Amino acid sequence: MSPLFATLLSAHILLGVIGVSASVVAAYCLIRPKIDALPLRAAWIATLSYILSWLSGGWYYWKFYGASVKPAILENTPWAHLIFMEAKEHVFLFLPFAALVFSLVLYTHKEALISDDTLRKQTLFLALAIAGIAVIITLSGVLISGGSR
Amino acid sequence: MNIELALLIIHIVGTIIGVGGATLIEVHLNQALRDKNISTDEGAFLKLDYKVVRVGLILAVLSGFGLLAYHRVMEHYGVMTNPIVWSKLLIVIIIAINTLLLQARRINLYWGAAFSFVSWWAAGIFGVFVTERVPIDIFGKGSFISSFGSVMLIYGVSVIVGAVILHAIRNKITA
Repeated sequence: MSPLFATLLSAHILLGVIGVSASVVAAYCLIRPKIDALPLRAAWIATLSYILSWLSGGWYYWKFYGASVKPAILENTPWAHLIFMEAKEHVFLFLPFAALVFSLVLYTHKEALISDDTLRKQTLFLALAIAGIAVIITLSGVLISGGSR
Repeated sequence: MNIELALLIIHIVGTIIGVGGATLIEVHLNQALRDKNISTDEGAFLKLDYKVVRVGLILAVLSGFGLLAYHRVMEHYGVMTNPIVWSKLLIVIIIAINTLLLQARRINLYWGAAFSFVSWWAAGIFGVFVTERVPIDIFGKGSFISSFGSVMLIYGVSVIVGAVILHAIRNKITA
């Protein structure tokens, strides 16, 4: 693997983990909301991390994975690609947009989230869904990496 | 110093901070509950403990995935299919879920404290098993599922035993 692809893959993994961590922090802050900047900051960090992880992972997938890694996985552990990578690459399309929607809700409805319990619960549900999907995608990534031996 | 060693040191430091913080939370909580009333000062100490644990969690998680990335790039695939590593990943997820449940007050102190305390110690101890390549397989099948199930069974029993012991300590202190 060339230094470029090694860097792209490492950035994809670490940015993804930062995104997951930030999503969990944002959800944590919404459970009992206080008027401070932390949930909004965490939401924007998550959005930015997912977008950058998307780009670095996408370039790696397009230019390296398909030709060099995918054949080995299909030969040894085909389910790792056919189930987990296929699911990951489709579900992951939603994640930056869901995170962006969540950030915008926090940005535009900060006060309403304190007073409107229904809005807060629905936003919390969105935050937990983003965090849950991100965790599943992260674990899928580890599994696919293990399948490429 | 190579990247792997640097990441391993950060991972160990994060785990030490997390395990130490989780232990101090129990110590300070028991101290605070002695008079069945958590004062402002005691509350401030506990808040600081929670912050310390969060710092440990962030360091351990980022360096842990940094290590996974390193092994993937270096094409050392064994780590990714190591059942104890997967058990540690699941335990870290349990720590995060437990934190969310504690914040939402959807879990009581009996289980919340046990999950936090035992999970941190389990992640630390199982981490040593990964580093030293010690196999855990109480079912003797030699498969991934058998080893993963063994680790999670040991962890589950430890949580139950930990809950009973921590509760007994709290009862003794507040009696």
